Amino acid sequence: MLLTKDLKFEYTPLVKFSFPDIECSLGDSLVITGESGSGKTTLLHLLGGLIKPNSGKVILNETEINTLDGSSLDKYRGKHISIIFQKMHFISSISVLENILLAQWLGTDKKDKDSAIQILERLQIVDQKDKNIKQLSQGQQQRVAIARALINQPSLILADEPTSALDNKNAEIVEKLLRESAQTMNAALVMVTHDMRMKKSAKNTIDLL
Amino acid sequence: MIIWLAFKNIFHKRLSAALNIIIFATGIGIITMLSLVQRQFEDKFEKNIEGVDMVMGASGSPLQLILSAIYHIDAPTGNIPLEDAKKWMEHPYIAKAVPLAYGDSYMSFPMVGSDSSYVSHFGGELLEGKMNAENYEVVVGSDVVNKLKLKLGDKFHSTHGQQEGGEEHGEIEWVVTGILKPTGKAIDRIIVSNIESVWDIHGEGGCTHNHEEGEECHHHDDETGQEITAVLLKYRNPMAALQLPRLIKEQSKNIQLAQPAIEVNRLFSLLGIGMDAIRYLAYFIMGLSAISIFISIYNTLKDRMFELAMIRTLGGSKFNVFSLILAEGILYSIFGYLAGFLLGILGYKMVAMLAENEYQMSFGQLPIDLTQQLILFCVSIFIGFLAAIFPAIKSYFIQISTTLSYE
Repeated sequence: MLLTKDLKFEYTPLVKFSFPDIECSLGDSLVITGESGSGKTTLLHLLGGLIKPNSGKVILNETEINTLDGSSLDKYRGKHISIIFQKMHFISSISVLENILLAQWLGTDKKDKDSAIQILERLQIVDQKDKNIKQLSQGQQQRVAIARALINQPSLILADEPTSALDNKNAEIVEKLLRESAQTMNAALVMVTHDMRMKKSAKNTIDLL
Repeated sequence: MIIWLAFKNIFHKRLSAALNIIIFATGIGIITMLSLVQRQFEDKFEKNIEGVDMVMGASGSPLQLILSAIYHIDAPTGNIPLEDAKKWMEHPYIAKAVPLAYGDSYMSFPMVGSDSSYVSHFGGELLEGKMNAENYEVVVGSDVVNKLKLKLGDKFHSTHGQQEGGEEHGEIEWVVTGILKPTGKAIDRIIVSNIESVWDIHGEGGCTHNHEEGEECHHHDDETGQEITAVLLKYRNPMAALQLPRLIKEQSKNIQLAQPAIEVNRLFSLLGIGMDAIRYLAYFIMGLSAISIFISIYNTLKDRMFELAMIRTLGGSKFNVFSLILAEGILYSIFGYLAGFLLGILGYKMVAMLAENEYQMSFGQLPIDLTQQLILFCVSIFIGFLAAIFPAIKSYFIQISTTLSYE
């Protein structure tokens, strides 16, 4: 279960946000929409522990993320939270499979090649596993990003505009993939987007003003 | 895993990795080669002057006298009358005196006429055959045997001077009666006969051949006209070192004394200037390579900020990304050091080959200075560390959120 309470964040005294409370159970999904500048990405980064709120709490399965610090925060994030960014970042010097394995090692200190291959199989990109990321199409890269997000079986998956760069058909596929994966992994899925296509199919939505 | 990733990262950009490693290896290689060559030379030179306190010979350059009388890599300075030399060879201050008559060669290996003390002085032992007893019998050093494939009983004609293609002593044949074991000293490439043969070949009771002055040989029937080229002297006591040079200078004006230790030191210090110059160049190259490693890490760092931020998001700690960047610098220097070490040995082998062809000087096994290499390795690591530490600190303080928000 993901919960937030009275989250506030300020970049400067003039640019500050206060966010509505969020609640999302494991296996469920939540879509957060809003215009650019409404603080969507800031909220996502707060949920992922990339930045600290000025006040308020982020609680994931009884762990108050905002109280964690330093490498214990990094470790917690690696193990329990996955973030899919709008622009995908991979390590360009290593292959698709090695990128997945790296995520596994960073999150859990273990490497399990079989499960990495399994997840690539599930996302139908296992035949690309030895290629360099740059050789893959946008859609394939998106799948690798999802595979990497799922590999450590996180409790929380955060996605920043996961579909904005995709056409209708692919956007639908990716969204479905994320929802289904979150469900089978029993993870809470939070997506922020300004893509109205997603809002239509979502059950739980929050609008940021 | 971090080191593996650092490895992947530096070899992802192959050309720039190759450039960094080559520059680094050049510096290490020059230093390694220089010290190998220098050690080998010093070892060769110092081994040969053990037990020789003074060399007596004709006037000329003292260094030339040493180079010719002990190492046989230079032409003789001239000859001195045996009579004059004898006076000092039998002096009570002298513990050992080895008379030498040389100047001829066979296939550019020097031939030296001396008595039996010569071979034993340089620690030569027979491998097979017997010591030369009669005129025109020779024992040969191990390098000569290896190069010329000489066997016991082989006969050959000698040549005037030390270069191949000089005038041949056609009428006289030398016979190999003995072969010496390797000693690692100059005697390995020397053909030893008795002095009488040398006198004999240059005219009855005459003089040894003298290439420097080219003067006519004086023919004398009595022993007093005989000449030798040089004498290796060993003092009986420290007093001799103080007294004898003065005495000789006063009483025998045409005899020159040269102290091997001093001349060899002079040679080293002359060579040393050149070696130092090259060594400073190598340090400079190492400095350049630190800069080149720094630039290539720093340059890619800008592009890789997202990657590093991503590593952080995936659970990597600040220390993880810090050590990733640091490892890249240190890996460069480790590979640079290894390549440089091999390069140095390769360069040394080439110098050894040159020396062998030019001076028949065979270099023994690699005189690798482990302490120096250890220091060089540590310095290498330090250079890699220095080149990477600032980029590493920079990546330690990456703000994940802002890095990933602004593209």
